[in-house]
Amino acid sequence: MSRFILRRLGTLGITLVLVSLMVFLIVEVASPVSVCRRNLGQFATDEQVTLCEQRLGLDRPLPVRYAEFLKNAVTLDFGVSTLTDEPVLDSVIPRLGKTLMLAGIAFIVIMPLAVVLGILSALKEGRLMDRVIAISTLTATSIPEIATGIFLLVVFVGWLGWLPGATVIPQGDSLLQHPSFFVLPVLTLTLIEVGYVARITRASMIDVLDSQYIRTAYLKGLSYWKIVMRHALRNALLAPIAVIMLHVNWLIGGIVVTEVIFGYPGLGRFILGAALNRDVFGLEAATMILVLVAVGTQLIADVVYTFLNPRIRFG
Amino acid sequence: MAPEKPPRKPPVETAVPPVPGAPAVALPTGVAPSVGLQLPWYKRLWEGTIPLRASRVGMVGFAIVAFWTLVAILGPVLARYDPGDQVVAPIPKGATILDLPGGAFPSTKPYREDNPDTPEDETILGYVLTNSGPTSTAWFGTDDRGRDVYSRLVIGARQVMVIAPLSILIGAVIGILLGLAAGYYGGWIDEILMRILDAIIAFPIIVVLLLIVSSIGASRVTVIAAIAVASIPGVARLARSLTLDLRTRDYVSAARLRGENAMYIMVREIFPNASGPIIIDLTLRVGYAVFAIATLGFLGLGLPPPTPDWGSMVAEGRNFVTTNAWAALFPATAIATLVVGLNLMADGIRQESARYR
Repeated sequence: MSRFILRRLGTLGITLVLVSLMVFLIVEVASPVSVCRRNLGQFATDEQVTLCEQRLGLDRPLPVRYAEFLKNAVTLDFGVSTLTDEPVLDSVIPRLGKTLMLAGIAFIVIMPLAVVLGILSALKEGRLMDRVIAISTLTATSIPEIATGIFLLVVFVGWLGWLPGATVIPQGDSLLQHPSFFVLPVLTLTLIEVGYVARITRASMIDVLDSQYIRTAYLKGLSYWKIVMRHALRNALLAPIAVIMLHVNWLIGGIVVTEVIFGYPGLGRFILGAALNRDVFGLEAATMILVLVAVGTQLIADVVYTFLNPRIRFG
Repeated sequence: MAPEKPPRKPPVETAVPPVPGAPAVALPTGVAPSVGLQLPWYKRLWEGTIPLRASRVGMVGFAIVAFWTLVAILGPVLARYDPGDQVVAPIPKGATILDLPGGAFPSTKPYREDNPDTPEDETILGYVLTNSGPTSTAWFGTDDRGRDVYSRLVIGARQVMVIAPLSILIGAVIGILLGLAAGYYGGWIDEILMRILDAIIAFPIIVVLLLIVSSIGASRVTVIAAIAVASIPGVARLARSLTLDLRTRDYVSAARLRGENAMYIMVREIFPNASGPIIIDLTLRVGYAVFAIATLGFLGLGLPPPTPDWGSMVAEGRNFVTTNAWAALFPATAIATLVVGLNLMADGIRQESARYR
């Protein structure tokens, strides 16, 4: 067990170093126009650009810059934003909190719903109910967030006028004081994710219902619902929980887009703003933190799944 | 990803166990034995569509995709206005600017000169029809700048239908070659390639696209390149896992004994036998590419402005959702139907092929 975790951590370290190298190369090197020239505009003089580069330390050789970026990334110190002139981390951390809050609420809504749908379709496998659930969830999952979000906006904001269209928090209020801001983003994320999790639950449940010990339970004369609830469900729930955690990259992508659609002040909107405004250090920081969150969740999912599944633990 | 269980159908009864001396498999009448490779190409292509034709869901998806393909081909014929042009409506006789609908402004051009309703000796003043709902002048309404949503949608279909398959094709060629090499050679080549691909997979895909397009600058080439890069790891992993299995086959050893070089073995011996699952995977990816193009456009990182782009149409319409929902609704519906169609098609193919295997 511990050897497995150590090995995972080892490859994870290599992955993270490579990720940092890619982020560095794409953000600071790949751009055809230099960062300072882009930020200052075409009318800035060459001296001004040079001065800006000196100030940001962009005039040093690439290996030196990358080494420093890596060193700073380890200590989570990403420098000062070129946009706001404040330490990048100060604006990233509160936004990460808001994003995690949105993700957490979505998770709480998605899981029970998806599990119920998955189990229903597994119990009615091949019948009308199963097919209706399969096709409707596949369709809901396939529709891109931007379309789902727009449909919800048009209906609930444009036509019915029940909900706010953008997340505008009055000064001094906390986000949680305005639960109506969460409704549409969470609904969008639910529609996107629920089909996927339901699908995994269904496959896992069908697998379990097929197994020898369920047959034994039937032959013992246990009642149908006792078998489903006590014997099958517990074993079938393992896969969906692990899968949604392994699926976290997809969920993050969905959250980024959802935040932009509804103007939710989270990390997703921050990352887009940083990208569009060429806030190099902000972009690097937000990306690295998103990747860390994603990779960390996947690691936990792996470990939990391995730990809970004796066949892998002792295999 | 947990493997999807194929539907539990009783396996199709194959021929009786071979009796010594008798032909191994009973062939349908009218088909000569062992003709698999000699069939003309169009018949082989037709046979290749069996998994699609067998699936009702797949055919529904195919119909949707075919519809949009047709729209993309006929684009300029279907469009009623130039996608950049403003729709001009006549100012009613005796009306002042104040009587015009909110948001409308006088046009620099008179009401369409080529319109037969306009008397020749008289110039009717025109105004730009902004944020209007569906009317007979603009079937799907107009956007906040008075451009015809229908024409932009129809012309924009062409962009999506070209960029999506093209970017996946580029990503697939690179991914398949990398995967074949990693699986065939193994050892350190495999190790290095897989570590690099793992690093790309560690990113949320949207973030990869966002980083690449925003750093290099939004253009058609960048969008294609970004989607190709994002699709490489998945294709390469699949190709690698298939190669790991196929390289132990006898026909690969035979080719090696014949003295064929590695490239030949990978491309001519291994790849054709791995192509089935790869093609199924690619059909799913085209749907994802459409999703990616639309999302990039929505985020302001799509095709640069003069080109009508579904994603940016949604983004522009979104800002006016309370005054005129149609301008966002129509492009969003277009994106949704195309992606759902592609996914239904891919899913139908996948399920049917799983049944035949």
